[in-house]
Amino acid sequence: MKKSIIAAAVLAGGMIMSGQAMAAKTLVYCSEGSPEGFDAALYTSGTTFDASANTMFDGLVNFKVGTTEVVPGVAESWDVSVDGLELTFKLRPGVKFHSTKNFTPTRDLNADDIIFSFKRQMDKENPYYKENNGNFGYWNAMDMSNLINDVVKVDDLTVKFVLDHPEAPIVSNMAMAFASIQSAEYGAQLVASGKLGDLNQKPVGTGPFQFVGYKKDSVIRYAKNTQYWGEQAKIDNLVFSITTDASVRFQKMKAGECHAMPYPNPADIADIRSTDGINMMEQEGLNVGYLAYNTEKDKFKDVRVRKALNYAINKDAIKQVVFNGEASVAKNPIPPTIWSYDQSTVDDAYDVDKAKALLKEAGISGFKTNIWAMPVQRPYNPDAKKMAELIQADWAKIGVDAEIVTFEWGEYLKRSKAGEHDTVLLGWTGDNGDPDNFLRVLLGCAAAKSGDNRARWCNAEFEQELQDALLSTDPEVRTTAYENAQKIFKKEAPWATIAHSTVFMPVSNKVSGYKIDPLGGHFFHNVDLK
Amino acid sequence: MSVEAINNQPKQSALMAVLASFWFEFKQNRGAFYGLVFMGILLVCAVFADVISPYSEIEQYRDALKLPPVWVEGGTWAHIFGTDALGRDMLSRMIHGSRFSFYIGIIVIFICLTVGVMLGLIAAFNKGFIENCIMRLMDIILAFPSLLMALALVAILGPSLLNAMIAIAIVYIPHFVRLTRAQALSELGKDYVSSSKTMGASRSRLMFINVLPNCMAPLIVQATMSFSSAILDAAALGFLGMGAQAPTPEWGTMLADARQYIQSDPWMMGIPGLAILFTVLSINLIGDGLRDALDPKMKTSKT
Amino acid sequence: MFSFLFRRLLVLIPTYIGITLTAFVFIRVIPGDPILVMSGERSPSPEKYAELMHAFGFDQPLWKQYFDYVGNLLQGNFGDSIVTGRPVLEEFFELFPATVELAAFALFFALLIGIPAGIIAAVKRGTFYDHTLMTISLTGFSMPLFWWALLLIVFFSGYLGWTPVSGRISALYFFDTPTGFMLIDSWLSDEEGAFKSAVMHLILPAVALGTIPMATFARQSRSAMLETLGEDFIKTARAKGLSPFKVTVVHAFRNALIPIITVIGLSVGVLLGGAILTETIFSWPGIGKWMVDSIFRRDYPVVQGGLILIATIVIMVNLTVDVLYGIIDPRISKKGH
Repeated sequence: MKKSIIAAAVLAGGMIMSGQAMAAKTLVYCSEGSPEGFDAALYTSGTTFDASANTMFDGLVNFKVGTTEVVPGVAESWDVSVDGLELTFKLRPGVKFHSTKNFTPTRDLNADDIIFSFKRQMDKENPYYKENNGNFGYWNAMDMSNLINDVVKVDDLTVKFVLDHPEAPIVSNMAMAFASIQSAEYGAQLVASGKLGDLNQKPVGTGPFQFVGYKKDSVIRYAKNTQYWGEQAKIDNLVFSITTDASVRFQKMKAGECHAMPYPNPADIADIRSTDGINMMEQEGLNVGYLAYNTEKDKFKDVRVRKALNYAINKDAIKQVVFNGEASVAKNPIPPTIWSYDQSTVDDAYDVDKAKALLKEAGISGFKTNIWAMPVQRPYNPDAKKMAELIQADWAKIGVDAEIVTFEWGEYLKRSKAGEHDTVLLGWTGDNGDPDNFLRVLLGCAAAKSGDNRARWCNAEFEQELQDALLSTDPEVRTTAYENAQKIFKKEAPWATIAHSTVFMPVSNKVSGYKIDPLGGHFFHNVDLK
Repeated sequence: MSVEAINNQPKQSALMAVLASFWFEFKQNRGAFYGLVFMGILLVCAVFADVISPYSEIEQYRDALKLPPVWVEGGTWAHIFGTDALGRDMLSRMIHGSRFSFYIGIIVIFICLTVGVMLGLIAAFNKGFIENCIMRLMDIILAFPSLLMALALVAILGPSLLNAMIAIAIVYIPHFVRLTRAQALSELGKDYVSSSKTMGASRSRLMFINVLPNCMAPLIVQATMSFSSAILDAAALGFLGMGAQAPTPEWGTMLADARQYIQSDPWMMGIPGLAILFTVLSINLIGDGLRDALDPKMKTSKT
Repeated sequence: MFSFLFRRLLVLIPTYIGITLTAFVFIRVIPGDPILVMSGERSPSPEKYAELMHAFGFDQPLWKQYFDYVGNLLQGNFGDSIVTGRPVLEEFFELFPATVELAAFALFFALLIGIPAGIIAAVKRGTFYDHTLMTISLTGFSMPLFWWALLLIVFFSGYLGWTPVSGRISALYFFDTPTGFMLIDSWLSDEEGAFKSAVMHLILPAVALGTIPMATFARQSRSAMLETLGEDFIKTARAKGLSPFKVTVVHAFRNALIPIITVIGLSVGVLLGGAILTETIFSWPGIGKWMVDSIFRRDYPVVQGGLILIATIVIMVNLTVDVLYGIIDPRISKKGH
């Protein structure tokens, strides 16, 4: 039964090639890079997630496309215990895993699959843990091992997570890519045949598309999953055509070689908008680009110095030059689209005289410093070097002499984490729509110790607000706590908040139904092609 | 006349005669001549950049962003070559950038001519183990594609223009070593060397005073070609993000920065690209001219 | 001949050891490590990081890591990519044909245009044709490759629309690629329009990559022809009344072949180097791009293995050229090196 459906799909695919008038729809997405693999739990990059979790996998819960709202995935419902230490999911019956060239499932999804998906990331004796040396990016970064004590099967369709301590965002975390549900049966098959690497190379999931093949650095091919438990995809085939240069992506769109592309050059945006046949979709990104002051260094210990430097930065010029006007100047460390954003904050407006006065008040006439700028494009900062050059010129006007420093991306992250910088440009895109994901990860005290908090700033009151919000499940309590936190942040100014970039997505006007994901992912299962 | 005067006179006029005939042959080659003229102009730009350029090369004119050159609609005479994304005057940046082209070429050939020639001479004069070590080392460097090698080296040393130049020089050294060694070896077989040896000349005297001057001709040509290649390779490294860093107005870096504007503001890539093209072309023309002019003396060598 | 070959191979052994050592040391000496690069802004805690370093074996002393690596190499095991988890050899052989195809066509283009241009310039020495051809080829030689490639794309693909923008074949095709050479595979796949698509995609990158070798060949064949044309035996041939065509093509060219072949051999290195930039711009999935990406990602096994494999190929090509050299000119092989 299943095989004939597959055969029909393959035949349909084959018929497109031979040019027969079969209405099989193939959407071509020009992606910005090669996926590192197809097992999302191993990686942290959005490019990899787009090619794996966002096409072929579901979590227990998913984000409703275009929002950060959590909706049922392979779990129909869930329930948190009163003490917040137990999270129970009731699984949806009849969810089928993909049938691919090297795997045919013999059963529907059940609790074993959930347990497998998580245990392999936490259990040091699990063959997959050993195979991957425990290098599960998000699991480690979010310190999940200290949060999830155990994953327990209650019955075939019920799974319980036993937590070490309550954490409000835990359900949102289950919608993230690393929590994608893998097939335990497939996992076992691969262990038996000794090909554990295939979990990463020949993926099997439950998602709206399934894997057909990957030509390294060139093309990824997906076919519609006709057995999807949810609403089926409207297109029959999905192709990722890997094109690393943004100008080249644009040209391919103009030439009709792609239907959609991410991350256009800011300089091309005006051009794209005026091109016939292309629809420029845009949305404010759930991100923030910032300049962090290393508060462990003497020169930045005085808040007046930090404020003075903030006043000296002409953010509008940065918005114009670096973002081509397509961004909103940031006044808070979280973006305006996230709940608990404090509208009442007053930004440090561009005022050179005020800056000079403050410096004088702090007893400083001028000093030398450095600005670290990253060498790669990030969603929150398309050109850090230019940004640094603008800030350098701005600070020169108040007598601060800044040298621009850069390293290669890996080195940049490593050294800034170690606190070698005076000031550093960096940013963040939200993972789950929760303010905790911004504030505690980037400005918390634990993060100051580990170095993820590039300002190395640990403020007791701020931390208290974060902890209050983390442990409570009452939205009002949490909102108030985060608003207070933002007020403290503004007063203490460990960062110069620069901008929230707009996310652009040029899409062919043959494509309908595409929604921009605030978390930066690219989804095609609700899209139709004319 | 004193004995000294008599002795000095023929040498001087001999040298002058050689130079004069060289210059005559060189001038014959029109391409080489134009190349020399262009490089001369560039040298003036480089030396007198601060005086000649209309504006500072790092001053950002925030109200004049991305102005096109004066011959395109929207351009003004205030900024003849237009401005870049940060509002910096292109002409000033181009003039100042010429300095870096010279830095790159000079530093690279300096390293190659000192280290490379030394190693080549040592290899030629010390047949056996030392020679083998040196030549194997050169083989190893030559086994890797030069850009990849340079990229890895800059990654190790850290991205900066100086490190890019060092990396490029290291990758070029084997060519100089091989050339010097081959030339020196063929010179070593000649009569004047064996007669010097018989007369008791020390090894270093042999190396530097007898043999080296006769190797100079092909080395000069090779150095000229390396000068121009270095500029191109530095631009390539800049393109990959491993060259000069902001806000240095080095032409290759300017090219890399302007890549995203290639469709919206193409002159930002066009002008530095053309500058590199003309500079490298001029140097190559000079190199060709040198090779032709030195030809009679180079009959025995094949570069 | 065999003693010549044998001697050359013997010399290769210390060179090879040096190559493995260089490839290994290089990537390890670059600051940074793959774990941090992979985690990006979301890095593990210091304890977890130490755990990961240990699991990967990076905390062991370098010399021990080197010996383990060489030990594996001798068994033909190049290790697995840290990023993708696939064996390095497997990835190399998936990507290598793309680079070969590109380089081969670039070479073909360069030979097709460059050598006749050089010959014509030599025969018409000093005339307008000579100067023009040589100036054009010198210009080709003097441009930054990536600039030239981008210019070609903007003009031919963007403005004129004659050629596709990037990739090896239209993204709509997805067939088995047994050989890895898109021209052959597309022909074998029997899919309508596939072969044509593959050819169209190959043109622009090949032209871009082949421009510099073309210039080199033009100049080299010109000077080689000039030297040969000045030789006595040519004067003899002319005196004998042979047609100019015969003189040029049959006699002179044959003798000019030696330096030309040398230059072709040398151009392999140039092509591999140029492939790095060309592949990046044209999104051509070959080893050049793979190597650059891996250096930036600190994917140790890939960089080490890739460098060694590439060096091996370059050495083999050089050896072949030397052998060819020896066949064409027997004097050289007898004399030794």
